[in-house]
Amino acid sequence: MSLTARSHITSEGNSFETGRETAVRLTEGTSVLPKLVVVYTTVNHDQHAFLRGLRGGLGEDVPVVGCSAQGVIGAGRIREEGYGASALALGGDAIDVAHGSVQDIQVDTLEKGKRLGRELVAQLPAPPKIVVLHFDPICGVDIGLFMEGLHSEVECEVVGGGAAHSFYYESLQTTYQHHGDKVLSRAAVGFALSGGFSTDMDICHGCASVGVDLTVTRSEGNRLFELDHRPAVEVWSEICGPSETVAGHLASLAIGIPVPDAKSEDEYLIRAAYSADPESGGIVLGSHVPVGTRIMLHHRTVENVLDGAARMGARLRARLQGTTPRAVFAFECGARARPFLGEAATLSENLALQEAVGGAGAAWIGMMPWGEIFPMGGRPTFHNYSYPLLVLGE
Amino acid sequence: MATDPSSLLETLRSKAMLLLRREREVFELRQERARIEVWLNVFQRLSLDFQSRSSEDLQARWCAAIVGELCIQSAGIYRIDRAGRCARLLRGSAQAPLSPELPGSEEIFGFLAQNRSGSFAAGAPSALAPLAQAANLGKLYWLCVSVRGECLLLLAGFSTDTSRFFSPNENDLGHFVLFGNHLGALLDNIALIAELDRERSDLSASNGELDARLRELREAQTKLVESSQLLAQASRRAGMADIATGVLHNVGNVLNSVNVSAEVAGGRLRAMKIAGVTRAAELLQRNAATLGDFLTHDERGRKLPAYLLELGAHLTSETGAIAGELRVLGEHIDHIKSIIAKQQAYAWTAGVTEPCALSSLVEDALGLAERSLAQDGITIERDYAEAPKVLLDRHKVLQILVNLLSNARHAIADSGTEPKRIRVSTRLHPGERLSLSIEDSGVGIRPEDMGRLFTHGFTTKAHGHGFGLHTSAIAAREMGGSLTCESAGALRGATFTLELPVRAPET
Repeated sequence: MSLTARSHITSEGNSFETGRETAVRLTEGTSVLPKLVVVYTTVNHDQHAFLRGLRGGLGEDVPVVGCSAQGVIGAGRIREEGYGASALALGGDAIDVAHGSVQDIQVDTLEKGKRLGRELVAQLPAPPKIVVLHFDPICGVDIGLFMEGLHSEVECEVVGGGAAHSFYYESLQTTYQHHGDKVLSRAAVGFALSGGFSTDMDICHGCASVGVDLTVTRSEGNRLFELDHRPAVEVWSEICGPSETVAGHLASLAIGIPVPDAKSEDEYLIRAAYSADPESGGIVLGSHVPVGTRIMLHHRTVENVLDGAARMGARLRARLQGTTPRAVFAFECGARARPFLGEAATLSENLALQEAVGGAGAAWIGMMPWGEIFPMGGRPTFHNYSYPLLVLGE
Repeated sequence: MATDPSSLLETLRSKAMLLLRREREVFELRQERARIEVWLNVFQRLSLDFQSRSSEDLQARWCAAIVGELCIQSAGIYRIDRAGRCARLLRGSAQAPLSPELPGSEEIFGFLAQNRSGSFAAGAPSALAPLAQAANLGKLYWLCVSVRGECLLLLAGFSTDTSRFFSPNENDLGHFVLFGNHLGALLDNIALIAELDRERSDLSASNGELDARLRELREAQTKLVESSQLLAQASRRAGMADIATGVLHNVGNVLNSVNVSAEVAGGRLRAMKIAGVTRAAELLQRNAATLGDFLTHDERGRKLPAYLLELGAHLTSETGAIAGELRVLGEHIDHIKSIIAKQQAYAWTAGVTEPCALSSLVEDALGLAERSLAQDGITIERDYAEAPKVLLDRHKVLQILVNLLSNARHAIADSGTEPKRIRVSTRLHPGERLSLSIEDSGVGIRPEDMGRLFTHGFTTKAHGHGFGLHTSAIAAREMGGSLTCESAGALRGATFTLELPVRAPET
């Protein structure tokens, strides 16, 4: 029983040629086709052209799942903004693969989650060990609700991240989800794995409470309208002050939501705002926040963020003793990387993690998402400003 | 300071809010710093190519840098062709090729002339809309730069499909303009560097030619030195030959006298009646037994005493005559010795100065030439000024004087005019110079020959070699002096003047 993985990262342009070259690099030297190819691209690429090129190199039968990202991560490199693509091919007789997608996830969200879960489970000979999920985080979906539906079907750990586009946007546009040869928006795509391999995962963030709490007095799903009976947008502006950029305004403030079944009062889920609507006074979050929730304002420091990543690497290294990591999936929040840490620190952070977890022996793929998924309390949970890692090993 | 719990809580809350606001500001500053760092990387990448010698290569690297480092999708450099009313793509990024040609119009060119840089977003009213559409760019930055008289249009932007993901801003526009102008400066520099390279190459070629010519010159100089040495040797030999000719002439004259004396002495010896003594002795020996009777009675005996007396007188007379001839011969030989001794006094003193009385030196020269001059019937006039002894190279001065006297003799001989005269004069001039002139009554010098009189090889003599005056002039210069000539023309004689600096001997 074996698990094989091979990865490739590129900053070349010319989307079709880059897609084809990526396929060649993933399959060269082996006559056995991969069972799944995962791909992340920046939005500079013509997504359709890239997938056509990839398909041309892979042939008709290899499933492809992925999404657009703010940046991509690969072995020894990161590429944020500009042209970037990172891909990983999984294969071997130790693994069984399922893949699927659902569209318009902002409506019938719970059911769409369930539908995707059923689709994944149906393709596998055994219950899935892990599901990797990508979705459109800016279509207005309550991803918490979607994951609730998904989890009710797959009943396994779910990790992943929200698709993204360039950080330096004027206004949120759209994100892309890849499934097969299709380029989707307002969709969720994912793959499930079962078989004779091991999984391990961890998460870090680096946020700390500043001791200011507010009560949610009006909300609808993942839209937050009032805090302490005041318009949420007004409160937000009061805290952050005037800002020339939407990204700067939203990405600088973290709110902590108490973890259900938390062992201490200091455990919080970290949330960030995606967009603000001055007309309705609402703030759009990644997942729902029920009325009555006492949220705690959080802040980040570069030192805390880097320290959190280093400690995560150390924890994984300790736990992976006796295991051979074959493939690593990295989901580093887009608001951590270049916008917060800067390019050099982000690269340094990732190289240190790669050294700690698998070294040169493991294939690496990663993305910079807008919102991360990592299980907490036995349930898939939505996070912001975090960095989950998934390790597949033997 | 408030101490009640609610006030403290409010204070802490305010400080926390302030902290968050400051962190938000820091976050935005970080974004700006990150953008600046990216642009700095771009600048650095292009600056690393500063050594590039190719405009094409530099343009390609500019496009690659701007697309490779930034989120910009496409970049290109167009040359504006106002005559053709279009902009032609010189270089573009490989990632998302731009249109090879953009249509132009007076409106577009006028707009670009008024607005050298800016940003454009599709949908905004702008004269650049057709140009952006043709380039398939939804948002773009532009910059016009002049490079060596050409107007280049630099574009960087996002395709119509993806431009919505990006928001060009004033800061990025500022960086783009700086980066574009940086390219323009580098392109200008490359042209200048190319020009410099060409000039350096030309200079190198010129230097090569100069070196070659210098080598040729050195070789020529070496040959000239060798020739000069040969010439000097030849001149010296010629000078020595002149002196030797005078010496030999004088020796030859004396030898004539020696021959005459020898002939006279020989003739007298041959004419001496020595055999008569022998015959008288034999006669006496044959008649030894009857010597008295023989001397008194024999006819031959009675004449013998008178014969012996006459013979003795004859022999005595001849012996005296021969002795006189031998004395004359000895005098002639002494004369030859003195001639040779005089020549030897000059033979090995070249380049050595010694105190000399100029008049004495002139007399030595005349002494070497006097027989020849006398033979040709030339009279010598002397006019010596009083002058102290000065340091002179005796050999050189004598060589010059002998040469001048020889030339004068030949000139006089060739003229066939009377009287035949050479005037030798010396003068001491103010300014520590002395001069010696030899004026002859010979053929004179034609004005057309005057300019080349001292040049090597020039001669008017049928069998001359043209060394004498040339060598004499050089010798005069070597002594810090000069040799000049004046002549009133053909058949009107000539005056050669040797002028020398006066250097008094150390006392």
